Amino acid sequence: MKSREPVITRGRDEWDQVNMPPEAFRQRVTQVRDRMADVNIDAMLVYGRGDRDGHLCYLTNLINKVPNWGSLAIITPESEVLLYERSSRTQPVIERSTWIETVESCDSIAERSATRLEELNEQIKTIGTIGFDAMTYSQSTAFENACADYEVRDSDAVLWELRKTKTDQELDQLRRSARINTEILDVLQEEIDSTVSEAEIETKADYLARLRGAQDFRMLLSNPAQTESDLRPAESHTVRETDVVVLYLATRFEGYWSELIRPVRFDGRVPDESALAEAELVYDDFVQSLRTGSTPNEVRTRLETAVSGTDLSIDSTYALGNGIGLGIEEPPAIQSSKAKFSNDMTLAVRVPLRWDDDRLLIIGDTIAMGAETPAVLTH
Amino acid sequence: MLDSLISVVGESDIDGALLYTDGMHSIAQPSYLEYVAGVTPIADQNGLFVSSDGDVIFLVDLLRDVGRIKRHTGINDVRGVSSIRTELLPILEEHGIGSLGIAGKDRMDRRTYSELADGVETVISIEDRLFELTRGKDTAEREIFRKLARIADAGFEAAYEAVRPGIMEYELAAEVEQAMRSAGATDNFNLFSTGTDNQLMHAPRDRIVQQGDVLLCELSPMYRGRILQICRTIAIGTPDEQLTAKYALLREAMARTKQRLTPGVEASTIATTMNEVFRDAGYAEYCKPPYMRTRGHEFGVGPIGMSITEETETELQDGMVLVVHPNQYIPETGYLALGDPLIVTENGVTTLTRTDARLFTKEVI
Repeated sequence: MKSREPVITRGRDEWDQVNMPPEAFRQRVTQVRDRMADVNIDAMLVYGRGDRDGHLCYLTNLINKVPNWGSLAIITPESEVLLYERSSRTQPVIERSTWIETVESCDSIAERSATRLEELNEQIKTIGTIGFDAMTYSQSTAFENACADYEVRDSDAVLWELRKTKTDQELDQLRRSARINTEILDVLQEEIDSTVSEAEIETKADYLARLRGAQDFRMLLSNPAQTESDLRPAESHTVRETDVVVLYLATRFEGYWSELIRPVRFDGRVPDESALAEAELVYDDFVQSLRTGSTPNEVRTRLETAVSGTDLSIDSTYALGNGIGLGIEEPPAIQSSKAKFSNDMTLAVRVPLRWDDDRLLIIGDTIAMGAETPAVLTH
Repeated sequence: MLDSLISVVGESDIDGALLYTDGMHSIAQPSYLEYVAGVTPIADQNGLFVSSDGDVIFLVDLLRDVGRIKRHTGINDVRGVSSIRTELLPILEEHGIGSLGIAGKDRMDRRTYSELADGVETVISIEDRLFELTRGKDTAEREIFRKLARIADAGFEAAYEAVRPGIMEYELAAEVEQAMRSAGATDNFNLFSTGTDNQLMHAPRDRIVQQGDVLLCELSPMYRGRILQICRTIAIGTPDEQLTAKYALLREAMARTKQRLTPGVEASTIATTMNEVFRDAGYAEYCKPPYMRTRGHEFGVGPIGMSITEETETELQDGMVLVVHPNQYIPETGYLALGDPLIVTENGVTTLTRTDARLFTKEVI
């Protein structure tokens, strides 16, 4: 879910190649090359800035620490994979985090990449681009000018397809990310027993996440006792232990994201029993409907039917969820996708409801699709 | 700041202005929209439009953020849209925008900018004009920077308290981050390096701090879209004479620089003065890339503005907020860090933080 992005990515394992073993890197490069051959693409350029989509990380294990610095990897059928980045100061540390042997710093990644394509003796006519939506205006203009003689094709779908299902290692990383969220919520519920500010809750949660090595941590909350009821970043408003707030927690660990959303009352009492009981039944049914082979449309229809028999209503401002992994919002978007759910997909799911005086009630988890029932990772 | 923007539009050669951001926050990229509107953007597309007759419209591609933006900015016309590009063009036409001033162009994707440019007669960057507006800080602005200084001091104090052999860099960062957030920071750009021969400062990692290490901290809290910075060095255990002697160079460079700074002096004075100290000590080779790039930065529209080198001709003026840092790579000790945030006053400069400008020692029993 969209939230405030940090000014720098930090965490336990900044330059840890273990996150992506060399065999995983080689396999991914081979898979990309195979796809390139299938669709007659001679060179694939994978760009990352701010790392929202996770494409560059998937391929290189590199996460841009400073959001506005872009990096670009070039894959061709025959040459070694090349990586261009903007800051020579961090080149040594980038070299330690990726299996790519040639890492070069340059001022204009777009222009240097175009020059390099000419230098490669590989008869390049068609270029595929991945992640280029994140490219700054100046870089995309420079790229378009420098690559005017090539046919350029948007190829995001190539990596999204490869990333659709997660390997065992990826599932393990997601589980550990999910566990951090669960632990944070447990600690917050145990330790907060008096009036606090939203900022204090966030500070505590962020601290817990960082101690566990999280690279990124996001919190949103709905505090209708103080402001509009929509999920938003923490502010200085108070939360009394008897208030019902909805907490959204998202953690990135070893590159992998997980989300957890719960209505919370810090005095330990269940927030409004009747509404929550109805919401939980609806939510449980929703999660159980996420079966391998089912479609988002089937799931949405079943949810609408379930809600229609209650005093709740679905808040369409919020989507029902999406894929999650190296990106916090990956395909499929449950709200709009037509493709069937498949085994080993990982999803951030949520049921956003309104009740009574238009109050927000959202329950959400990170799940891993299985052959039969889905596994809730953030339980 | 919104009133200032409206004045800029009203008094100039543009018919309207658009401040745009993609929701990314960077220490090295100005955040015009956040600075002017007073709200931290979180959506992928955020655009603030101001017409020459004072109409203000905020477009955001995240419907649930509309209420928060209204509440924070006081702007009534906040619209949740699916695409700023498709929503903005009719607005520009409705307001008869021929010449559009723009800030944040490089945050836009190519298609959005191209269609906007096609929809008006001319597009003019107003980034420099906005930057100039922020140069001399008013009373409210100065209070924000004083708060940032208190946050920075709190962060360093926490770093000093927490550092010990056995703690990992990222655990140390968590302690410091908690202290800075508790003091009011909304985010922090913190770099930590530990070791006996630091080659650079970097984001914290899983290295375990050892007895005898040197800890370099660069702490940059963020608050209301502004950033400040402090740099310090902590020796874990009693520093040897060489470390103490070399660090004295940084202290000399800092002290000498502060003495020379007054309004009207070129910012290059900062770099030439610091480099003079290190060159006299035989380290000329290490006063240039790849070892050293800038001797400081100005803080203007949010994050870093002017970077200070021997070529920086900008004159200091009352109200400018800078960080000056004689951070230096020295072959015998590795990188050492010292940096202070300053505000230029009528007569000179005042250091905003209270943390002593010295080599700190953390004795471990």
